[in-house]
Amino acid sequence: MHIRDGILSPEVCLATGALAAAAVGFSLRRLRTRLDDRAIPLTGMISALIFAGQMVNFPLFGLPVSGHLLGGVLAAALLGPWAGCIALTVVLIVQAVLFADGGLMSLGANILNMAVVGGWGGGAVYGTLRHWCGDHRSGSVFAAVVASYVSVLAAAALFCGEFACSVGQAPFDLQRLTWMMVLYHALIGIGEAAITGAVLAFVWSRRPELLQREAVEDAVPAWRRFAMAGVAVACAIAAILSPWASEFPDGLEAVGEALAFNELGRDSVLLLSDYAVPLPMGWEAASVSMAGVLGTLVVLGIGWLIAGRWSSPVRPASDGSHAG
Amino acid sequence: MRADCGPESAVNSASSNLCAGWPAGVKLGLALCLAIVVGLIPPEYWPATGVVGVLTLTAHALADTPTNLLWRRLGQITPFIVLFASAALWNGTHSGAGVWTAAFTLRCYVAFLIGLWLTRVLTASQLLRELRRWHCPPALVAVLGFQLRYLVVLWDEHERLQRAQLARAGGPQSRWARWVLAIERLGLLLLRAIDRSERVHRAMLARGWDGGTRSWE
Repeated sequence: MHIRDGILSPEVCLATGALAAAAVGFSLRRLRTRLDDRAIPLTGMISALIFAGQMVNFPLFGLPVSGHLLGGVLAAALLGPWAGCIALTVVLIVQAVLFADGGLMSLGANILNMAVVGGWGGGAVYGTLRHWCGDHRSGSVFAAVVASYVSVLAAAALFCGEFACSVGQAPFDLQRLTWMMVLYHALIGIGEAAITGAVLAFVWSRRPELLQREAVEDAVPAWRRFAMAGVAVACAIAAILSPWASEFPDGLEAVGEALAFNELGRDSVLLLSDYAVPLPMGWEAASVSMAGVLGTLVVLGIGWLIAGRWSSPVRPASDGSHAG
Repeated sequence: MRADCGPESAVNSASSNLCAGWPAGVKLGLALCLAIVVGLIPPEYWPATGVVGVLTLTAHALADTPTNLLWRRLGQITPFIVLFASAALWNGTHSGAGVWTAAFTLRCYVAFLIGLWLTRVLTASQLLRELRRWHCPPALVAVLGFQLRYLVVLWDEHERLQRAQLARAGGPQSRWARWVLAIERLGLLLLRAIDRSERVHRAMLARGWDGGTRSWE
């Protein structure tokens, strides 16, 4: 899963580095304001554990390869999304600088794909599913399994987007590469989900109070977790499924074609014609994926603005202690 | 990440090669600059990438990198590079696909050699000092320090647990049994790590820790 140097272009490395720095900075700020000083040794220890856990290779059944833990959802389940993101970031820094596992220039992309998607995205999916399933062992393990699987697939899809932006004028069949990445990571995701679920089940059986502390719920309010999970799922659907949408016309277009009134209407497209971002070499799948994600985010932004404009702020009830 | 490169080598070893005495900032900056240069060279100027590769190999010679380590690590990353490099050839219609694939492969190998050189010349304590000097967020450096300090401790504990499990098993095991044992090992390690963090926090408070960060070397 670690991206080596040379795979991504310097421009993409710079952009992902800036995004990763912003995400890590935000996580550090949340960590400082919401948690006590115990968080630092605990986060350091869990990051050391994840590092060691990544060295423990598991045999994959029926395959001549082995898998290992990525740990994003495990860290988020134990520490919450902010500290989970920091723990993974620290692991990736050490792996890149002291072990040459993952590139120096692509460190930002690795942090974005694994620490931010795993910690924030995986943590949000875990927290939401756990909220729905209930605060018990099977609910927690189910939530961790689903969140781990989704986070691996989301990281793979994100890498495909970064790679699409990187290769420029290269003679590349991006659609085939995306298929391979998603297929391969669908298998890796099963391993990650199984390892994360099994480790959490083990912790539940020995020390359930560690997971009943509701670390994720403490860090993020329920409505925000729900919103983050919704946005993550919407973006994942837009990025992964939209390139394989049916090419047949929808109901209105079919009727229009049958009655020959389609020619009467003229499209005046402001930005993205036919759900496609203009990319070189005609990478249709990446283009449609990017347009899908962009559209989802624009709709989210508009919804956010509308909600902010028309919703009345809830003010805390005054107890009169500051009066006069 | 594989278990055949334990954390002790990078965290504890004090390198004694010609490059080890260079300032840590120079080593980090040089590696970053070379990685950026390699990334910026267009595929058609692949000989320039080759020149950077030769320079990097010279730096490896100065750093006393063992040849078998070079071959082993290059062998580990080869499948990953070949997968991406050969993807351009799948099309088979573009005339420049061959050159692009060769240039891409060369670039990936040279970039990897640059990163590998850094691991040979930079120690963990130098990295921490340099990050502090570059004004990285203190909380991040503190967490990094804890990780590097306890990585070796946890890895030792992992190996002890593994030896104990093997001794109890008393013979070859099925894949399923090995899987279950690995999960149990990881779970136990996790519980011990959390307990250890509580003890460490109490010890730090007892010694008058005020929440600030200090060097661990």
